[in-house]
Amino acid sequence: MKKKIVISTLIMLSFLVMTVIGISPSIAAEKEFLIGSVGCMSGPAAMLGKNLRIGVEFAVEEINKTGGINGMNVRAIFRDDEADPTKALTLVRELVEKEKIHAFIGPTNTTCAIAIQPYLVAKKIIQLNGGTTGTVLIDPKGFPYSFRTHINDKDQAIFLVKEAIANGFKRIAVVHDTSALGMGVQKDMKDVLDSHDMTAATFATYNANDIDMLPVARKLKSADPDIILMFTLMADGARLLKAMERLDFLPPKVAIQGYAATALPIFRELAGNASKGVWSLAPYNSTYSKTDPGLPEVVALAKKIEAAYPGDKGKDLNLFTIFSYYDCAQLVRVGVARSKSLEADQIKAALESLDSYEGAQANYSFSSTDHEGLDPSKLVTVDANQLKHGMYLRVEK
Amino acid sequence: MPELLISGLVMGSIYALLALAINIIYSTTGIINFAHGELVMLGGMFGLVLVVNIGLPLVVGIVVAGGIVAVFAILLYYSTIKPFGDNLGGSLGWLMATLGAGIIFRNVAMLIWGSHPRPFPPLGGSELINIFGVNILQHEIWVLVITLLIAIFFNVVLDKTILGSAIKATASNRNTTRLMGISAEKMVLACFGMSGAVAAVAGFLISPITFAGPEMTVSIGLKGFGAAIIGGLGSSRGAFVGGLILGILEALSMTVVTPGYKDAIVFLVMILTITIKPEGIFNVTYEKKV
Repeated sequence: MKKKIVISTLIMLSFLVMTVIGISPSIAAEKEFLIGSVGCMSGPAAMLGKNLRIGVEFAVEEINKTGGINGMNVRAIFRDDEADPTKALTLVRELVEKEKIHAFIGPTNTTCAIAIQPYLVAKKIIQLNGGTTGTVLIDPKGFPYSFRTHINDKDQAIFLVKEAIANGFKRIAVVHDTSALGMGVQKDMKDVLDSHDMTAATFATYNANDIDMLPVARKLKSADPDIILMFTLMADGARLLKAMERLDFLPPKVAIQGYAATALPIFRELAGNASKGVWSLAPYNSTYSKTDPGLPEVVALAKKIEAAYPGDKGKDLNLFTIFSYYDCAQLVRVGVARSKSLEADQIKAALESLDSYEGAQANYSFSSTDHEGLDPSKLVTVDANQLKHGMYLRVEK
Repeated sequence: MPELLISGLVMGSIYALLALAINIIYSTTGIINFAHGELVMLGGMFGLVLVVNIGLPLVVGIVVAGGIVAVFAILLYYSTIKPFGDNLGGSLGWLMATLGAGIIFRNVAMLIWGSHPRPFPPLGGSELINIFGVNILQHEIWVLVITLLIAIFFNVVLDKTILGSAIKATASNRNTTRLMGISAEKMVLACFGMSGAVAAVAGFLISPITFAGPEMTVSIGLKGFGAAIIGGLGSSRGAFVGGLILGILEALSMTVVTPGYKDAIVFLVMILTITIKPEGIFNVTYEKKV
């Protein structure tokens, strides 16, 4: 009996001490902070998962070197969903129920995100989305624990059109596939053009994975645009540029700008010479200019990644996506450290009160009504053919 | 417009190449090899290793890759067709087996070579040449010429040689063929070997256009089957013409209507063709000929 009283007293005292020093009991009980991460790490979109893994691993290594999260060592657990929504949900369930993760980073495909987010809400798990661009995924009411560090589809579309208008282009042609993503982009771009009393020179469409892109190129050329905005997947976009090369309709005869996928080195490799002079977009922090090498901390991280993945090992990597996932893990650290809690509602509140966090990719701020970390104002036009340590050359038009 | 016609002819030649090899298997076994697209992919991937990575001359690369893929095709026969015996019409096991083998080939290729597509050097280099105001790659001319030569080769082999007669006899009735002293098994193996070699050549020709990767034939594989059906299963002339019809039809539908509806239009026409003329344009009935 005496022994029981002593143990109970000790437990109560320890709770009291923890409360006094400001750490919740749940944090003190944990020795390790677990980040679960699911993404496509095999199949045609494996490079997405590779970017996720590298970004999270670099961040976790740095966090642990600097003392972890509130003294807890951080460990990331990765799973491959093969871009299959059913598999993604099964894996997330396993991570939450068996591994008992504290936060989740991923996934890498919008369809997988749609499949898992209701479950994450039900289980109250903080989710940091670093690369899934579907606009519907971020909704503070529907998905209160989901935050995003990557630019979404809609904002990319808005940026492309606004940038073209700002640079004095009058005849804007758009090319995209007939998937839900492509048709959504068409609507977003139409809205921006309408708001400037403009209409597109043409909206050229094709089916994803089409081989013969010559008719699409021909349609674009016959519309006589002064800029073509490409919302095309990697291989499709490369085939389109090759078809336009055959029609002798490439920069400088016409300006061409693509969305984030066209910044990938693998896209440039596939398109070859036809990608010369084709602009892309990137968040400002992952760019440099002839007079500005970029932020020193960001350049240092870029060099570190380049050293770890030299040559062919790094050719399917996209620096700003890696930065985005790196920032996801760092934001988890910030949220837990600020809230001093492992409770999703507390971490959520801490992230929502974050009005300026300087990440590798951008400066982030969230609020209770806005869980998007990036907006079009943080993007710039780049020439992705001119890489330095994986960073893109800013185009000064 | 001329460039669209050329583009349609090139795509049509690609479909024809697929259809030709599908036909040669159909000629002896009466089945369609649903893993054929993946054999073409293997041709492209081995081509990438032999020509780009190792640096073999293109012709040597094609011959070596042709041999390797022919062996794969023969192994495919032993593992997915032979277990179902002679009466393949009475079982659908081969259908699932060939489909499954295709998926295995694709997944293993992903494990070995990774998933993303890679550029493949075109025959004759990347420089565009201008013919009558149309920019084309030399490679596209090679695609047309080689496809035509393969179609003629198969036509001659099937119609003018003893091997062709033996193949047709095997297609007609295996038991009777055995009584005539012809090894049906050897005929089938010869056809699988030939289809594998043609698949490798197709891989070399297709890869510069689609890019080489484990998924390079996913979208065109089905059209290869379509071309074979439109032309008439078992006819090399039919495969060639069926492929070209499909390619030109695609190019036209992308221009006249909208590229987004291209596949719907092409498959609608294919269904109509099959409905009106189920035996295809060049119907072949070996039973009557042998």
